[in-house]
Amino acid sequence: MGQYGCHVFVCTSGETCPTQGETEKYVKILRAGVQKAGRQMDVRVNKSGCFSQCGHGPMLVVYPDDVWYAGVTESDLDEILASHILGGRPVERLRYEPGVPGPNKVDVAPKRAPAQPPSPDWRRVCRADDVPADGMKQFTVDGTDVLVVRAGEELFAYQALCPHEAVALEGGIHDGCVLTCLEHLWQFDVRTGAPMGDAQTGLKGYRLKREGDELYVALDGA
Amino acid sequence: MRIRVDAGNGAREFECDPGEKILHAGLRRGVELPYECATGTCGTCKARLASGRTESDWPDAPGGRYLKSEAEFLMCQSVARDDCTLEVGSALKPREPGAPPPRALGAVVRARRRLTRDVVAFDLDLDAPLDFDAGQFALVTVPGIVGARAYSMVNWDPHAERVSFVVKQKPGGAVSAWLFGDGVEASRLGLFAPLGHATFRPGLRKHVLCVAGGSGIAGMMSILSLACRDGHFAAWDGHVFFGVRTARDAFFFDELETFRARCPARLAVTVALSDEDVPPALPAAWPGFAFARGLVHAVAGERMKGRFADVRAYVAGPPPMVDASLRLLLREARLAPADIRYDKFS
Repeated sequence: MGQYGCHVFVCTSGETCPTQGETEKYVKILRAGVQKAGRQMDVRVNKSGCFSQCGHGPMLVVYPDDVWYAGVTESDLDEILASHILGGRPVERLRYEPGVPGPNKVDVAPKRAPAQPPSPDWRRVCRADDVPADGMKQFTVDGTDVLVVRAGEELFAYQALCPHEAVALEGGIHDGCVLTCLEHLWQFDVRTGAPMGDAQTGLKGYRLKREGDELYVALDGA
Repeated sequence: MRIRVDAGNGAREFECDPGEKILHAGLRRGVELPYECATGTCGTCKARLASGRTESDWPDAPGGRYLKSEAEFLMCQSVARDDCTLEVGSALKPREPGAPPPRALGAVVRARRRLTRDVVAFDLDLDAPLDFDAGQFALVTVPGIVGARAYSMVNWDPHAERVSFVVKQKPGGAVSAWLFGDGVEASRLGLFAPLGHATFRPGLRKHVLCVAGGSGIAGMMSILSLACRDGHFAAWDGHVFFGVRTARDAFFFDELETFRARCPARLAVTVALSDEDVPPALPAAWPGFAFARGLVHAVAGERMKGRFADVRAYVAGPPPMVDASLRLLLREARLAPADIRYDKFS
């Protein structure tokens, strides 16, 4: 006897499922439904890796019934939730039964979501590799100048102009720890934007998010 | 006129004479208003007018690009028309103990010497003795020409009665045209001095690195003069890197050799030529110097590798050369900003 009476797996990180539907959102919807029904002790919804059925997504699996669903749309979720996950009756019309065991990928070119910002608050800045290794670059996002700093594998976004004399910080340097404006040598912590040394004001930071190769910032602040 | 300055760390008040620049009035009376170039370019001295009236003598100053609203102005270019209350964003630092306050004084051009095809040296007799720190500069106003130019003192003497400047000829520059023209000797000039934070003071417990491009060597000569006199190079190293385009553009070799010969064990002079290979006659004539082809910051970076510990660096020259040197000193040498003193000409 396992820990849960019903265990749901939603593919959120395979090659194609996340491009065929907003599978992260599916997980949220299902979890909210389980919670609303007060069944969270009994039902578990997990994000999952690839099921090796690429091209048939978005896909989710319900155990211990071993029922697989393919091509699930957002509007199908209420029915799967009510009928199967909470009610124990599989939704036959959505069942995935390819007739072959094991992996069953169809050749669907994965749509590498280039332009799907994670939420309306996020604005696309640039491609991650537009920012030179251990360098920084200034971009204009919705009329706001944003400096993107790359330190090793990490990326940070700040106001583009030095708070001292409004000089472009892009013309300065950073060594992975300290960012220095060359105009008057004001310095800032690369990771936090906090002022160091002579600097009397820190840098305003922006939340930065990477989705695939694309970078997004939330301009409403840190 | 009464000027009140609200700064990040409190308020200060001082008197400002009619027609006097607000920056000068404050500095003269011991209020360390923020400034760097003092000639309308860098924007460091900007302030916001909260009440009263000011007027800019140079509304088109390039430093105006740093002003964000109608209420902001450059203190180095503006006079007060009324009692004023100003706000500056930063905190006012105390003046370095013992640093001489600047003042206005007159001077007479005593001699002009041509150093290269486009660089001359001027010797000025001062109306009254002037104390200044090695590495500081003066604002110079020329009769009939609006606006001051900044020139570093080449010499260093306590209670100096004479100062020397190096001036590079600028095509189209009014002051430059006047200084290079006829009838300069015996002319009267106006000075406001001393200014600048790129100073060397005795007691510094660090090696001294000077990186100069062209006429940027001027302030370094003052620093070397005081450091030699003070015996600084008995205990600490001195590294001088002097960058010029070609051998024809170099000057002050006699003076540099005099400094070097006084402290041969620890004072090294390297001349970098950016636009030509080193002519063999040069090292033959100046065996005490090192010569290299390259940009001066690159030559300095190469030769200073592994020797940046306990170094105070002085940098002066054209803006691209200064910026490249700052990159080197921050990134490769990892010097703290307090140990990097620089002037950018613009």
